[in-house]
Amino acid sequence: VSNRRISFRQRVGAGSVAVAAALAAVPVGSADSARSPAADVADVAALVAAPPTTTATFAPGVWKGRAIGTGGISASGAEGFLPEPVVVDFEFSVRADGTVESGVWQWSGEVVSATAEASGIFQMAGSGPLGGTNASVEITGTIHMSGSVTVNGNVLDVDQDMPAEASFFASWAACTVATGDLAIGGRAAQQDAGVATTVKAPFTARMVAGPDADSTIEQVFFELVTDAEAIIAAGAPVAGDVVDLVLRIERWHHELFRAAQCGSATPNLMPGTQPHTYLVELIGSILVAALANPAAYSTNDILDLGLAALRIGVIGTAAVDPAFADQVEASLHAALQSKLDAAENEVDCQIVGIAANALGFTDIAAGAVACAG
Amino acid sequence: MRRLSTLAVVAAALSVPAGLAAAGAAGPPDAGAAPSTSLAPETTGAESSGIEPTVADATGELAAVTLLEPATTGSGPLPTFRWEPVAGAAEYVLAVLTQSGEPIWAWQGAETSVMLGAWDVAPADANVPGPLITEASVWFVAAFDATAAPIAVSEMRPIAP
Repeated sequence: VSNRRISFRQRVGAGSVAVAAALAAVPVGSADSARSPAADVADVAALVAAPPTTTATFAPGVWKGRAIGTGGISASGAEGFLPEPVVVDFEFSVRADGTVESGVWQWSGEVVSATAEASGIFQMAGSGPLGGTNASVEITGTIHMSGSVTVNGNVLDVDQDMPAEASFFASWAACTVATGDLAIGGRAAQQDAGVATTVKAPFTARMVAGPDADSTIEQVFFELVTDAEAIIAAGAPVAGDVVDLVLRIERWHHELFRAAQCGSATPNLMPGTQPHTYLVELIGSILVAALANPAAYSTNDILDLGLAALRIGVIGTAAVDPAFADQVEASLHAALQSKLDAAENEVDCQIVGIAANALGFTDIAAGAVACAG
Repeated sequence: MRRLSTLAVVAAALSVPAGLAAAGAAGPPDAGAAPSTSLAPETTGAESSGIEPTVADATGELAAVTLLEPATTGSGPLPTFRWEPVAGAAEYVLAVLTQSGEPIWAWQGAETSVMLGAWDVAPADANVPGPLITEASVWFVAAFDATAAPIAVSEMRPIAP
């Protein structure tokens, strides 16, 4: 504590007191033994709830952000600070009507408080839900503090919870990126209460998924890759599973494109250099493996797999890898030809004909003429 | 793959499932023929009606899917395809190909309209990833019942951006 207090004094002298009051109700130590550290904490906690005004709003979608809290407060000879910057992570969804839902925030860090006669050091951890609106996101939840405070040489243990209450907003927002200060409301309240404050918690946030998405782009990407790899490992994929995966990839591609329109999406979502077409190539690999044994699939399955390959861009004019497209196309052609050869009724011939026409296999389509005739 | 330079054979094959070889599709491939001529000599060229169906009606085995939109020209790169519902259809298949038979895109679903690429809202950015109509192309729709058996198929209709 002593060393930290020296550090704190040095910071005061340098005019850069670092206190985390706005973030988590930092205890502003009091020389008055009648006042407990908890009371000090409660005082500061009350300072963070000022309703801010704003001109920017978070657009509908899923937002993920991170704030870095620094600064300090001082009043009436009592001071407090964060000895180290603390990271506050938050995530929330904004509905189309601007309502914030499914929000969470959390942080943990160390807080030091000091007066002429007392000093304290506390481990603090806060978490809770986020609500409100996209113009004023409301923080609630609980902050737990534990540690000790030394008053006139007496060491007192502190271990208690306190409610968190604050709000913040985006001071700047453009499509899928927003910035602001998580502590802006608390700082204003502190100043109104006559507390000198340098508390700041600048944040950046970005929209990671559209309003209908149930997860983040990164998380969905991870799930898609995992599921694709599982299908490959299984060896004989069910056609319906492949089609379902293709539809999920398509939705993910669309979400990604929308995010990328504002330049906020990362060019690649996994370490390395693979482009977004990585998933398309996985689908191609699944198809090549599956179509090696076309007898395991019905004619309808082959139709479904071929259409899925074309839909997602494994083959066709939008194919991302023409050489690989040729390979997949050859597999589809061979599989469809085998179904034509094995056709037992007119329905089979009709399905082969439709598939062949959709995939541009005119030779098989012509064969389907004879098949049906 | 073995693709011919005209749609004549494609159209003929598409018509076969219904047991009908369309008049304009039964002949030999004609590399120099315009798609509309090869596909359906009886077409009037009216954008709203497009080319007459080449399949099914005569035999009654497969009905015709009536295509509604887009028009045969001026569709833009990202058109929305629309057709009339088919009684008993549980699913539709849409396929889009270039006039030379290169597949552009395909789709399966229960709806009777879909934007190229399955976008729910047209992207504002011109650099849309995925399939686009950049040249004269064709499209058709097939309808399947709940048992996944084909019950109707459309003409092969031209489309141009």
